[in-house]
Amino acid sequence: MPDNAVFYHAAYTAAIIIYGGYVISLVVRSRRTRDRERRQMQRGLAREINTKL
Amino acid sequence: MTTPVPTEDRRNIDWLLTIAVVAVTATFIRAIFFTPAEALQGLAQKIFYVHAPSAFIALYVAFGIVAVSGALYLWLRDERLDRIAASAAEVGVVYMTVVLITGPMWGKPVWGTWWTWDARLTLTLFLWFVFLGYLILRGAIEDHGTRARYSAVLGVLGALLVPFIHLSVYLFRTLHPMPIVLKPGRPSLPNSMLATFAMSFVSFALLFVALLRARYRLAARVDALVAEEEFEPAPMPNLRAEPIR
Repeated sequence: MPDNAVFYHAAYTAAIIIYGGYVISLVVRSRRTRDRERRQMQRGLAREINTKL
Repeated sequence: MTTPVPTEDRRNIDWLLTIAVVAVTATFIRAIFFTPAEALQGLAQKIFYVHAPSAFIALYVAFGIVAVSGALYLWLRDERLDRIAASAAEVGVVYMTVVLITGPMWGKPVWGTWWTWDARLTLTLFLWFVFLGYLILRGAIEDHGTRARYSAVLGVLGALLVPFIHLSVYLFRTLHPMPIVLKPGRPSLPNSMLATFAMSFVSFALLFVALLRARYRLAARVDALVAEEEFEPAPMPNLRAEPIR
């Protein structure tokens, strides 16, 4: 049997990096969106308070 | 004193994605430690358990969804369909990137070369560029309607390459192997390898569904934010700060 384990180790590592990297990118983008949502909610509340005053 | 985690944050844990990641990890463990190596190709044959399911899901599922959602969008003009197409295209490009990286890693020890410009490989690379272009196009157009319409057309046209990629091993002389599982008749794999392949197929399909769902939800939230910002009234000018002339 040929000794080529290094190729499959590299392929599995590459797959983990790509899929893992994409999951991390989704988490980061989701957090950024949540921050934007909070800022927008705060702006909305401030506007509402100003209107009432 | 520790601050309790708000319930909103606790609900943000994506259980489907967690289950999918566990399933893929279990598949990797089975493929590495509990599946026999192929006698002629050696351990490099185990790349098959990542490469083949990723290719199948990217080609037939992800880009299929892009084409069908795109065509339905052009007909119904429902922005949810555009969101589904965009999410499937992004996840599909990720899967296809894995295919294009793991393929040459199998090719080098088995064929003796990283890459060859045969029909299957070249068309697959071309498809990857088309859908990378699809994502860049979406980022470049600000108007929602125009972006959705142009990308739907590109998605439908890009997916037309899929049947050619599928048939390329029959129509042209290629180095790429013929299908060994998805073919008429029995799969040419022993049961232990077939079980690992089935497990990898199910786990990568589950990962695809989880990623597509997460990406779709993110797109829906971003769209809602953008829509609200567009309707937000302009800030009132601060009249007191202006000097009176």
